Amino acid sequence: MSLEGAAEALRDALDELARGGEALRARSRSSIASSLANAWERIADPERALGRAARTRVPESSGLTLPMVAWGLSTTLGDAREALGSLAAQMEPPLGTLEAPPRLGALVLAGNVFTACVQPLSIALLARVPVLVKASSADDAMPRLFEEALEAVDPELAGACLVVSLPRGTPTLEDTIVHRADVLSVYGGDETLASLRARARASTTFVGHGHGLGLGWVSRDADLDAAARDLALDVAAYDQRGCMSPHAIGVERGADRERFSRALAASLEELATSLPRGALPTDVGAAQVQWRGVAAARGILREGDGWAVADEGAQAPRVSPGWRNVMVFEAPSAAAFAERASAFGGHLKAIGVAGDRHAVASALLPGVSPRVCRAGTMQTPALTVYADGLPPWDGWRRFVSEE
Amino acid sequence: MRDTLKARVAAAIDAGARGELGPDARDALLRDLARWQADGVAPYGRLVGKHDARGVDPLDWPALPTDVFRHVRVARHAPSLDACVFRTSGTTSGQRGEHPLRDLELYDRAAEAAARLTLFREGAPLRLVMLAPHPDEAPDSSLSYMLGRFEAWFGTTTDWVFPLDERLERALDEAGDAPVALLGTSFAFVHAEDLLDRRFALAPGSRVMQTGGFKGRSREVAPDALRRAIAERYGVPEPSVVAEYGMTELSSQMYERVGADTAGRLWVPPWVRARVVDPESLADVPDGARGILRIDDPANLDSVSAIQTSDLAIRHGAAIELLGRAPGAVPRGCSLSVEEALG
Repeated sequence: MSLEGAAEALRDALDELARGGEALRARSRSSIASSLANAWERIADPERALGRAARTRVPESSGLTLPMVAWGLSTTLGDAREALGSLAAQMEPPLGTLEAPPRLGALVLAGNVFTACVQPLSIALLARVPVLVKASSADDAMPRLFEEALEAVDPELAGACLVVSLPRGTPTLEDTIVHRADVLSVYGGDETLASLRARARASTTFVGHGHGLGLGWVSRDADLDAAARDLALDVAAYDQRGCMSPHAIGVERGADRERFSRALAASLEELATSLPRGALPTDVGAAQVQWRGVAAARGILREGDGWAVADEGAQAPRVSPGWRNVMVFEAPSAAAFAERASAFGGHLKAIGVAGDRHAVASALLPGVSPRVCRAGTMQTPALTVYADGLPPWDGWRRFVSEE
Repeated sequence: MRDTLKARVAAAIDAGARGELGPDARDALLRDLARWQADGVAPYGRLVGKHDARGVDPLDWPALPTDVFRHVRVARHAPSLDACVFRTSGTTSGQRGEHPLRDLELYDRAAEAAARLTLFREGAPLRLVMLAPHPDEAPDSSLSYMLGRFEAWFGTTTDWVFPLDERLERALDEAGDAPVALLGTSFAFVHAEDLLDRRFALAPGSRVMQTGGFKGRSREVAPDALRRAIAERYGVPEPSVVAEYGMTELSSQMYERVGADTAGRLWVPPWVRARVVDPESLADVPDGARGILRIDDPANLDSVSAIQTSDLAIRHGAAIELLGRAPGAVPRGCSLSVEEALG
């Protein structure tokens, strides 16, 4: 099909999607939540056809191993029904307002963490906004599975959700989407965000989730073995490819950092068996060699089967290439750690804490608003969790105020 | 010990230039260098410590990644003995790698020998046009230093054209029927493409050397396209447009051979050991397979000979096909890459 033909077909599909919004707006939020739960549960359940398909297609498209994919599915979707109910309840309109959903939303997904689509997809539909999902052309398995699941459980709701993957270098097709959307939610690199934001209509609500990383913190009074186990899971989850994955872990001065590093290494070694890492791309391997070399040259490097822990003393936190390479460093106090962490600015998306979370959260500098969560939960955020300091439904809901 | 090793390295380069250095002699020298450097260059000693203790062949010890030069001093000698410090041009992080050299004799010897075997095989001096800063303007640039030495070794007259302006046209026009060697960075040639609105017909025997990538630059051009554009712009056959591969962290260079039909394949000087290794196991990958380039350069006497680059490459027999710099740690999607985080 020619580019113009593809653009025409896309415009037609968007028209039909917008028409699907009428039925969606007539639905109760609880019925939408119920259907969403039914759809996600089909994907989570390894005994069902779509669950089996997920366990075949997602490893192929994501490069994650099957155990890692199964872990991601169960931790993200295991309590989907309850989480969606809670989300639906929180999304009721404020008193004195009438809900006035946008006519059409577009959700642009990245390909690094396959479950990252669950929250925004659910929220778009709970907000009663028909949504076009532009999935990463390299990793569209999960949104496609959701589309199939929704079609099976609730064809009417499925009519308000369309998943597309565009070939690279087709700005005309992207523009067709960007120009039509009333709300544009984008997950991706900062360049992608800047490009799409510049091309959106002035009246479009733009919600960007750009480049990000996570950090870990271990306070002096923490149980070091438990902290190591928890943070090792945070590192290993999704092979440390997520924008909330911890790249470096600060250990408070006075704690036995050497012992923590050894325990972290031991936990990562265990996870190499229970949740093995996916194959390492050559490009990442090149970066990993450099990163590990610097660690070995100026600190203590512990390496194992697909993981590395670099203890670099009091050096500033260093971003790792991902794929289970993590730095450990010393910080004098939670406040000093928070100040160092704040240097990452808006890129800092999550801090996993073994210790007093408030001591870290309250010491962050202005303009920095990551999740500050318990160590071991960095990669299992609730559906209701704030992202980039904003409620997850930010941009998807609009109201008429009756004054 | 240093004097002995230095004499051996010099002899190896000379023998390599005469075609008389075999891989066994080269490897023996590299082993002795590795042991001596691991003993005296702290970051390298730490890197290879475990391997050394297990009795692993020094040739199989891990090579020092180039990033280490950005973070710690890599030298066996004290800073007070530095003859010069070459610095990388910087990355988006702005943190520059530093390669301290205690003396430049081996650098000069290797650079001259490699250039005589490839770029200047005829031996007759040429008119040189340099699209790079003069060494006086960039005293910490290894490229400028090398080009400055080329002026002394291979030049009749030399024009330094940097920044690019009308001097380039003037220099090429003035050459007339005399062959020219036009040397510069790939980015300078791209810039020249934007600047020039006419073509040239350089005299037969002319050649172009381009080096370096586009990291951190606003515009990138595919190597094949740039080679074609240069050949057309200056009126030289495509095989006479050769790539040079050098790094601040190395003292020897690799080249495509002028006139040879081996575009994209780098010739490795006999005193240098170039391997393409798996990034995870660090073991050699088979011929034709993709890996990352490791270079053991004995002319790096006072730092570390075994250097691990981030450059993706494929080995084809004795030649190396360079695929370019790995883009860095870039997990897909919205996770942060190393360079972006440090930027």
